[in-house]
Amino acid sequence: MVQFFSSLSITSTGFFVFALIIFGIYYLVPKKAQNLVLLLASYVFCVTWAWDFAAVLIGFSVVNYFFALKISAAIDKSRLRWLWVGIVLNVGVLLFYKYFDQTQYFLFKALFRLGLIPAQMELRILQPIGISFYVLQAISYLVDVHRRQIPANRNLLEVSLYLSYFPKLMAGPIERAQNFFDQLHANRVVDNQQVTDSLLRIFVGLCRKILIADTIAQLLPSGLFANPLVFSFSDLIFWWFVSGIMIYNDFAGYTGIARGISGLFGIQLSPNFEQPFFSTGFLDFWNRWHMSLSNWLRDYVYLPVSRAMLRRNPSGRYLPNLIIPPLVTMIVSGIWHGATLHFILWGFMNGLLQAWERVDKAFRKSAPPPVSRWAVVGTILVLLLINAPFRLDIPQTFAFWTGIFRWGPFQTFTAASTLKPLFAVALSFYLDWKHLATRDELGLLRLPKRTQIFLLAAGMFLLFLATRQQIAAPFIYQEF
Amino acid sequence: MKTLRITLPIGRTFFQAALSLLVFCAALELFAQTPVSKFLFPRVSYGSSHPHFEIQLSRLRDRYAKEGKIDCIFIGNSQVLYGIDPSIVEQVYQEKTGRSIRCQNFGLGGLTPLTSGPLSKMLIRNFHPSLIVFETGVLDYSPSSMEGTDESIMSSPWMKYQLGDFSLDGWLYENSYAFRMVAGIDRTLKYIEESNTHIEWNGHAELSGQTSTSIEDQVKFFETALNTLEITDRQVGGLESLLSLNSSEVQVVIIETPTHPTFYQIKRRVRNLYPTFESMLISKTSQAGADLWLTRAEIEFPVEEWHDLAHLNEEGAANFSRQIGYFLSNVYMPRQSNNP
Repeated sequence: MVQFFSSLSITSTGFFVFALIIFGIYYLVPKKAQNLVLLLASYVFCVTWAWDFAAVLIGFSVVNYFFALKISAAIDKSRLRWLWVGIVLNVGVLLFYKYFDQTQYFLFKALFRLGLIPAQMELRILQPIGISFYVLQAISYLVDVHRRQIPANRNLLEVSLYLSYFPKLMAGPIERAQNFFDQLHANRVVDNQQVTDSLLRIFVGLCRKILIADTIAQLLPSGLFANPLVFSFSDLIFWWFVSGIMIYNDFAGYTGIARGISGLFGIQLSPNFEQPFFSTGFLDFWNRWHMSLSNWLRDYVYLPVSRAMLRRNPSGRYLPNLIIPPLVTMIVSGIWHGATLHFILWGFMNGLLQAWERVDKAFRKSAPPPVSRWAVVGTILVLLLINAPFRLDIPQTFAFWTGIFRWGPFQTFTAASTLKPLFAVALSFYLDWKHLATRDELGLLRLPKRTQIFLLAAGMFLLFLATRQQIAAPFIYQEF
Repeated sequence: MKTLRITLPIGRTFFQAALSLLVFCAALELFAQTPVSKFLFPRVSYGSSHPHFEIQLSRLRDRYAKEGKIDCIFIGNSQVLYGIDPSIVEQVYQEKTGRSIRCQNFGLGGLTPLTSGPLSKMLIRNFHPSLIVFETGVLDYSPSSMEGTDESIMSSPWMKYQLGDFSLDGWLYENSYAFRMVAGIDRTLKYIEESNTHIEWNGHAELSGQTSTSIEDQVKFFETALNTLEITDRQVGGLESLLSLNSSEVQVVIIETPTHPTFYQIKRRVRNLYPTFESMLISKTSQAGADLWLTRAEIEFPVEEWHDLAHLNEEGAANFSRQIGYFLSNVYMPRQSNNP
């Protein structure tokens, strides 16, 4: 029983039983107590991973609650001072939990040499789940209060729930305080339509995670990332593309389930993806991929840097104004994923591509040509190529780049070995295409009834089989 | 004011889909039981990741269903798979005793004594043999022996189910033809390399001629196992668990795996450890009242009868199987009462 509810992953049976129990309690208690139920459920969810994760989250929420009040109450420069103290504290907590484990050896060695500690020590500190995500939400809340875009919330329960709400705790979406608080204050009524929409989101999310992402994860050749040069160029291209689809569906699947579960409580979470594999350019891609993070970076990094640059030189064609903001934004994005060289390289290259597009747009004399299919293909190919350091360290990245340009014999392309990944890729594109064609993320509900029944039955059948045959892989974004 | 405003009917599409799915599953189950499905999808799966386990189980199930009786099952690692031809054993046994027996090879690459006990329990429970022959060699008791292989068999839901650990998967693998068939299709797509080993209807696979890999390279392959060779309590415990199955209903026989002379020539460690291994086998089998055949003292296989350092080729297998037939004719009497 304890094992059933331990380290609840969003696709585990334990999680769905947990959500069902909370669903029951939530609608049994008076409306006034519903937010409290959600907060307690979020802490219980956290405790299924570790007691100290919940303790960190509670402490973190209280501290940010007070910082927001302080910022709100302060006047003139002290507002900014409180904001910066709050930001530094949040970032400090994040850095401590993310990197203490890797740096403690050197830290304790230095302290030992200085005679400050009697012997070399080693502490076991685990990174609390979702910390990278709720730190960003806390920072955005403090900045919004500082900008007077929202008032500081005097209800500790609401601030705590904003930071710890369990459907989005592990990997977002990164919500804005205003949007979330408005929903907490509103009369949340869940009717048939909302239940149907939410269940469909959960179902599609499960299909994306289990049928697409986990299926590919099981079939990826071992050593593809660790030792790319062992593989032929054709293998590398094929599996790299397939692994891109895997990462997308892993995260989109998670987001779909999180939004579906949340919808059952009447809280609408923001979408994170909008068919990124149909992007027509690099800027377009980042408006479609991990949108809640992209929007956060735009509002709290890109725009402030851009404004600061424009204050120095207001020309829209001044090159540093076009290059530096996207470059800084994407490097920050890289560091948020992990403060290692390969993530910084990844951010730098994505920033360069965005800067290039901005420069091209600024200096283009004629109207841009109509978007062609080749633009979509070209965008994805270039992005897949430069996103290598997202999964590989620097030597592996260069080995990968060498490998894909090393012409040689085709390997492993047999019907059997490619059938399942190709099915997974086709399903991913079908789901995106349906969304695109109907301009509705729940476009499947517009299909004829018989088709809906067929797709639902086929999906349930395949999900049942897949959960029997393969081990659920952990969410990739959970590790950030 | 109520915040959940659900009105009936709700979820009709879902229930219709669930109903359609049930009808489809029932139809699939019926289809899976027909000869057509067996022809179209010959491969079924029991959910293990072991490359030979599932094929061997299918072969044994098919034969048991067809002939209704299996007297003797040979278990062990790939040296059993390639080294014992049950047809020759049956033939020699009949020539010597005038009684016919049915033997099946259940050799699984990498199997160690650790898994031989639970595996035999499962075989006895399902196929009611009156004789289990376990072939084992000194290398099986090394700490670096292939415990990952054991894990791949023991972690299979079907195997766990057989040993009393109930799970939905185990139940489905046991009771649903369709589930095994669909799992088999999935397995075929995943493990295409499995088709490299052709296992006959009686569980035996042949290796012809001799490998082109040099002796030196083959020795390198065994380097770790040979350098760390010892007789571990864990593996001896596995052997004891198997021997505990020896009873008036089921006879357990231990046969020592033939060893390529090179091992003894090049590795002093093997030479030194052999007497300990031999006395351990003698002691354990005599405690359990089981029969033991130490082959090293009696048979020497010429180099031409070896495919590689570890496996006999078809000639060696025929020779060894004949010897086993003679040996069994002296120690084993088939029983009638074991089969249901």
